[in-house]
Amino acid sequence: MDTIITRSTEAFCRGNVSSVLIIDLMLILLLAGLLIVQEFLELNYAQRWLLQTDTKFNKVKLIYIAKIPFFYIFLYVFFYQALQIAK
Amino acid sequence: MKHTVVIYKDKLFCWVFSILVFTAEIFLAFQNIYTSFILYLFIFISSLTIASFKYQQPAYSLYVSLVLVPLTRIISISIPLSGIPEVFECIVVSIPLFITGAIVAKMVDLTYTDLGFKFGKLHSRLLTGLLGILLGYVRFLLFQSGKAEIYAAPEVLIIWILLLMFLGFLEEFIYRGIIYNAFLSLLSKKKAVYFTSFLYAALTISTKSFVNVLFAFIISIIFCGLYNRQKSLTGLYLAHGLMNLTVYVICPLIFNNRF
Repeated sequence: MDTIITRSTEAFCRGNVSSVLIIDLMLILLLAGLLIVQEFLELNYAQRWLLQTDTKFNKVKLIYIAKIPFFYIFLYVFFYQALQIAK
Repeated sequence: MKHTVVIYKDKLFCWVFSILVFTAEIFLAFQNIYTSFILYLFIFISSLTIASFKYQQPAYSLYVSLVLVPLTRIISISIPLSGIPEVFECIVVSIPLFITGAIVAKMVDLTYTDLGFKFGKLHSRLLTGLLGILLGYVRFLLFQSGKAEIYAAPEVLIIWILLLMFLGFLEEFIYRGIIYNAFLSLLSKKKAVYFTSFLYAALTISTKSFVNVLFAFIISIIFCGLYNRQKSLTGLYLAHGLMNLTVYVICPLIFNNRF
């Protein structure tokens, strides 16, 4: 359990450190960057039609490892901040 | 010759990666969150970038799997939890980790069998599971966890029990199921055990307890050894879950008289 959430990370999260240090904003910008890179790669591979489909697919799929958790954080932060403002 | 050079570079990466994770966690332990976060982000992006160039090479699975280590901290630092009930914080952090873990397992072609979902020899798995209670008791004696009053609130006790079991499962799934198997694809069994255990222990540095880090290292070695012996993680999933349950719920309830 300690590797996933420790007392110190818990304390940082409870103190909303990510909002104070604009870590959440940085991740959202990174997510936007990843989406652009993905589009670029897909476009680039579409032009290089000789490249094997399997290789193309796997290289683009690597982005999903970053995209999915970052998108989750984006959604979480979005709804969290919206609820904070609504309160 | 070229193959040897490639493997040498991959082994070097294992060392560099471990040292960087260790450094990032030291920064976190000393409250330098921003530096730690940037370092974790750097490790995460560079591992992914290198992985994209290693496709169809033996070390591909290693680079992809190791991404889960920095990602754990990136997620656990960047989610705001102020005003959220404590029982939900572990759920909020573990959901994206589990999903990403499942994606990584699929990408590196790990089968259910590789991930240890073998249900034969049930008595052996149950015995391994019971080891978790013993380890949890030892850990409780070492650290005397005082969180039972939160975990033992009757209305959330069942959720906590399920959650602690799930967190145990998640750690085993990531460290023994994915990362250890990835190290095995490149290194010898002994080195794979040490690297996995080092990374596992490194992520507990922010607890600022040397005994805790050492305990995590030893636990990881024991669990890797058991995995090597049984070729199944079913017992370890149970053992880790029961260990969490013993440390955070059962022992505090019994020894701190919180009935």
